Amino acid sequence: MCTDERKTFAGMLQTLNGFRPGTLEGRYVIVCTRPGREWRVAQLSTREGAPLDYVGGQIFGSVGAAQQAVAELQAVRRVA
Amino acid sequence: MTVVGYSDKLSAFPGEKIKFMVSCDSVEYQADIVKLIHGDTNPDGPGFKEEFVQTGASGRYPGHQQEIHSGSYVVVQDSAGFQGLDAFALQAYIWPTTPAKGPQGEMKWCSSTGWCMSANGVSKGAQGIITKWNAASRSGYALVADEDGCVALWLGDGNGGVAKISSRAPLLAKCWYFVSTSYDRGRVVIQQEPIVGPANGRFSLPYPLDGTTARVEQTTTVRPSGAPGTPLLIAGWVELIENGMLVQGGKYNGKIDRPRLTSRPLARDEMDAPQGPHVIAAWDFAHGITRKGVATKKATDLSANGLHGCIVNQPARAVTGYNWTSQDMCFVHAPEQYGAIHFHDDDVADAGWEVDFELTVPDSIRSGLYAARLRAGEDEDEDYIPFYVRPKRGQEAKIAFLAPTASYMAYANDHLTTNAALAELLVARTPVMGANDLFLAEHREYGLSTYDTHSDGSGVCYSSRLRPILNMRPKYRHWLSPSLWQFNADLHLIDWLTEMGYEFDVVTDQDLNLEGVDLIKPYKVVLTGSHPEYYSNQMLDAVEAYQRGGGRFMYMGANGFYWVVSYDPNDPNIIEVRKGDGSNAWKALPGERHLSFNGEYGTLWRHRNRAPQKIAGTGFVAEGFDISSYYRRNPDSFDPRAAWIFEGIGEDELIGDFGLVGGGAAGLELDIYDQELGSPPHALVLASSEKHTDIYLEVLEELFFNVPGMSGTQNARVRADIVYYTTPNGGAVFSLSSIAFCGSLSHNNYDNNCSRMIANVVNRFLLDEAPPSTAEAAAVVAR
Repeated sequence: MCTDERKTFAGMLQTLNGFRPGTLEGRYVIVCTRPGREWRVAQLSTREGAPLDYVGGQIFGSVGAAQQAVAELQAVRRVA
Repeated sequence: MTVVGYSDKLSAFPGEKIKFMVSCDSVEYQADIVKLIHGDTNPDGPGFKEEFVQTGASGRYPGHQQEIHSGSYVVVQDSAGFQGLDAFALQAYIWPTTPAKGPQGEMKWCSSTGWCMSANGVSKGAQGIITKWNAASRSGYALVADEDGCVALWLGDGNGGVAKISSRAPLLAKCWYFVSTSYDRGRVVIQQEPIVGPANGRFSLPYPLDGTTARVEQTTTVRPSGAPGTPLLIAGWVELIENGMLVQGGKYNGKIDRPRLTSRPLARDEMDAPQGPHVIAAWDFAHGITRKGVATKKATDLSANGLHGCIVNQPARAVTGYNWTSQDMCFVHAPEQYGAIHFHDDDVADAGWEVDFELTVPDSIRSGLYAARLRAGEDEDEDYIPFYVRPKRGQEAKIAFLAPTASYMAYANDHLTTNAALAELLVARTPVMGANDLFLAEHREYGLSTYDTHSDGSGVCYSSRLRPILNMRPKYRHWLSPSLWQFNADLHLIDWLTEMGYEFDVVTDQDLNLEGVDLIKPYKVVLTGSHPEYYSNQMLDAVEAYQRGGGRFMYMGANGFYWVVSYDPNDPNIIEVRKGDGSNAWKALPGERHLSFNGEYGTLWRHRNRAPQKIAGTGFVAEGFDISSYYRRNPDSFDPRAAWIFEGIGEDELIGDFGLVGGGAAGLELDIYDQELGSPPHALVLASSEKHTDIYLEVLEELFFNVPGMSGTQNARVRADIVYYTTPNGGAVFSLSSIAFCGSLSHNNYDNNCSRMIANVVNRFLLDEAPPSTAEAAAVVAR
């Protein structure tokens, strides 16, 4: 993630979090569903103990591929 | 996860017994004892290594589910004094933290619909304050904060007759209240009065608080039963009693101070020290505070009835009470202002599981890191319950690896990746979660780490080992590091010592805290783990005594000797930390920075003038979690007194430009030589790292103002210094100052300059002859 994107992302988190600490509903994480072999993209909930929401059914064969997918989703979110 | 477990002991001698407690969803599971050698599954490294150990504990065991009931409270066994009351009053000072519904809405991103407001208000429900209430039979009497966040009195006759009388005035979170509920032969009075002082709560000025002040009088035909057989609870109620185990309901979040049960209401000026036959029970949470802290689990009843309670699941002690003025900042100096306990619905001190099987540690096995490996289910889900085997006394090896188990406990079951928006900024990538993380995210009853906040937003200051700690496992990949962190990362070092053929013992922080320098005195060389961050007074004293006595100390990591902790003096399975004025996930509230377990000031050791630089020559300066870098030799590395360290390493050779942790030996957290903080003036600064990214930032405690230019490419202080110096009686210290370093030891089948350098130092430190002294006047310079 380049410097400008990091700044933008930090700013977005601050704005959307209302300048208060805590997690942002729908924040992306990567889940390693099979160690060393498979990864999926998911979203977090702010509700304690709530399970993750998997984004689509795509399974990635590397962490890098999953990271790229998240970056693309975040880019869509930034302009929304 | 199909199978998880924990043990009653962390370390044991051969011949001693260790008990294992297991929860399993399958019909049965297989248990075996293994020796752990290398826990990193990265295909670029040596791969996972374990050795089966033949013991009597191996076998198949029936699976059964065991639950953890989190939530702290005080329990008082039932007594005749609680029964047959035609008139009584339940009173206390309270500081509720979650009295009302949660956030009414939060912005939510849906990939299909975009941003929208989600109705995400989650109420904590009614919470018990002082209750003699059995939820199953709806009988007894209870002072509660009800579902609407108002003080209420519940009465139940056990025959279906229930009355719930509310103040109808919502409580404000983090504001002190005097709450009083009374029943007198059908007449109920409820009083709710904010107590606002200059420093005792969220607000300080006498704002009009009419909306949260109330006095209600009402009559009821319900005559409450005494709920015979049901204990009295403070900070909850009895949901049910199952197989002799009490299950808490109505878990209260917040502080309670001076809870009272009397036969007639007390006036405010009677609350502090009530006496007389009308006092049934008056619990004093400040009782037991001495200069040495307050570690007792007893809630003392000041009345003549002696209805003492037991404090369960380690709520926070040494917290300010309703009358705190801020003129005293330490609870041992003004205990009367620290008469509160802060309860949480997610406190866990002991999972309390039944024992599944026991291991008698075989007489024949060497000291090391072992685990009970559990496998169950069709997919052979597995869990490892680690434990350490100590050497027999008098039969110690020459080398000891000092496992930083206090630090493992500090990070135990951390939820940062799910709970902290900053997680992604910290590591400059989307965090990766594994099965263990998913399980912990959905099972908060497994307890939190000292990097988490409770559900009410307060910092987690205690961590217990008596629960499954799912990020203290081999194979576990931690979200914070590009690869491994803490327990599993330290297996890089255990693997290297093993592969290089060194005979070594493994001892723990817990042992060091209990036994002091006697634990490590027998060893020629002591090596730390990659991140020995949490240290008690006793541990620091032991390390310094070891160094003074001629021991050779190798600091194999960074950000060590940083946080002040104390073990519970009555239970070595629990540690405490109070965070603030450092690089911290939360900050202790004003007046709450002293440790309850020993009365001493917490936060960082540098704030007690015992900076890490005094212990190991270097101390925490910067952190970043994207990629690691390398070291470049400094002129001091060519000094004849230190050149032996670099034997076999070229003059211009970059040290550790490779590794399993971020691709380099210098990474994650970095330490720096600094004489102002106590680095010895006679030390040699052998090498320093360079070329860290801008994700690396100088730590907050080093800054006076927040200004630009603090990051890796701009700030020369963002670096790790390798340091060597000698200590009295033939001792020496060698410090690497990087958490990532040990991940480089196995590179190229252990044939690399990191491995070579460490082997040079270990081999030299093993000799009887003192290492070359750095304490020559000509060489002492101001740096």
